[in-house]
Amino acid sequence: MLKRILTVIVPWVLASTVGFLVLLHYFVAIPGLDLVFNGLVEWATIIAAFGLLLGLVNVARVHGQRVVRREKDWPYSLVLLLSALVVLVLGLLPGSIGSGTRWVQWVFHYVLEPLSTTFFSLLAFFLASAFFRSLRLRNLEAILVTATAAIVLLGQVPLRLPWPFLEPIVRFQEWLLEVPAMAGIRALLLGAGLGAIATAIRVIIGVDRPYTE
Amino acid sequence: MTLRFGGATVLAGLILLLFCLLFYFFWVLWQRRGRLADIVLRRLRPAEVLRSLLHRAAEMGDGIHLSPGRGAIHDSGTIAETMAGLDVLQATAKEALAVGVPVRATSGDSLVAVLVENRLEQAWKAAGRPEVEVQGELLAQQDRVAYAAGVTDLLGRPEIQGNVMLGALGEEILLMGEVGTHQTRFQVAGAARPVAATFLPLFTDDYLLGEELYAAGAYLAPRPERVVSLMAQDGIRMLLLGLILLGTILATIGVLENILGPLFQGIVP
Repeated sequence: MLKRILTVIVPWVLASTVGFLVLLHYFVAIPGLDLVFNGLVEWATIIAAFGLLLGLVNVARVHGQRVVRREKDWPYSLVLLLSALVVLVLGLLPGSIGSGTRWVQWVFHYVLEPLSTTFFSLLAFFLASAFFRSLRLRNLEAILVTATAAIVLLGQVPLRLPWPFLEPIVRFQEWLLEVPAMAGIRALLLGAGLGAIATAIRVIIGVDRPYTE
Repeated sequence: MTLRFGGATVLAGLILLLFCLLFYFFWVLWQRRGRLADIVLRRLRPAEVLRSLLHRAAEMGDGIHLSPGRGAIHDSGTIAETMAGLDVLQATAKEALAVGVPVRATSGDSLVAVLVENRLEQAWKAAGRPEVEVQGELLAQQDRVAYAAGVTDLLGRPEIQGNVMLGALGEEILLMGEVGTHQTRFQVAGAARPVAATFLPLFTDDYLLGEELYAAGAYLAPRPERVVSLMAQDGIRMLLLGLILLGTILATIGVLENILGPLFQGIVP
């Protein structure tokens, strides 16, 4: 009974109360509720920070084990651990101000950002490959996506060329973006919003309890 | 005590109220009649085929990769998608483990990684096959590129032949999906954000768009509260569809702006 109270009822009451208070704050301005709301947001930030620490410990444990046991691809794990250690040490050096430290910023600007940009630039090639494959497979939806993308790309060419045949394409791409694309995006967002509301309500009224399952 | 009475607040309040009413109504109906879902629920092909794909994976001796996306649960922008992704992850992991398919799950946030571990453990216990391998992995901390790089590497491994990605994902879904197309036998993907949803038809036939992502959990693990919630959600969707059609007609004949316009001021930014 005590176990059920601690693992099911207490988390349920806490989650429902907090969820209801935050929801109430959205609709009603009650003196004092702002304070509670801000406090809860601060708590969430602190818990998230502890989560980050937990993640670091987890990564160190998993990859440390891989290195010690010489499992497959262990050198990559070693690189990961050393990289994490270097950034951590740079951020904790005497006189440093965490992520604002010059050397940490250097790592972000000259190592992480170029790596990220390089990897993400592959998206264009992946997109082209996906387009060609879908055209070959004659998948109607993919063909529509491809044709639309081609028109929008042509319509947004920054060169001002004296080609009058581009004018209708430019107007058509503007219409595509403003009418069908916007309608699709709104429909998606509306549906997703309803789904999010349903999920939140289930948790707040306690019929769905992901924290106790 | 004062009401924050703007156009958007009124609409949100009305939808919330309506959802609760419909939820209660369908709940009562469910209690009285039962199995109402068989009549009312629409078909959701990817959720239906997932089971047969897992059985095929079991026959081939393949493992699968599961992802609830790279969202966070302390971020209001991604929490709902992440929770929906976790529901699907748990249900899929249970089905997979029950038929003997090893599962590798990844996440892109340290708090979500803890939840993934928890969901996998429950799925593993429920499946009743302790010998089947299951593993959760944290690949990145809210970094879409690092997460995509980790997943693409995982999908390149010969033991992973199925890829199920449903949750908070952005453009990086194409990077992972394209690698999955070449390296795995099947993929089921779902996203609620337009930027990711656009790419889905390019790399798989079995995809879930927008609110289907939230509905998938009710199909894979049809617990009464989820099915009833889905029915309430569908009810509001139909109502909004009717209102949009009505609004379009009224706006076309010039009635909306003069009569209804002032009522809805502030709803549309």
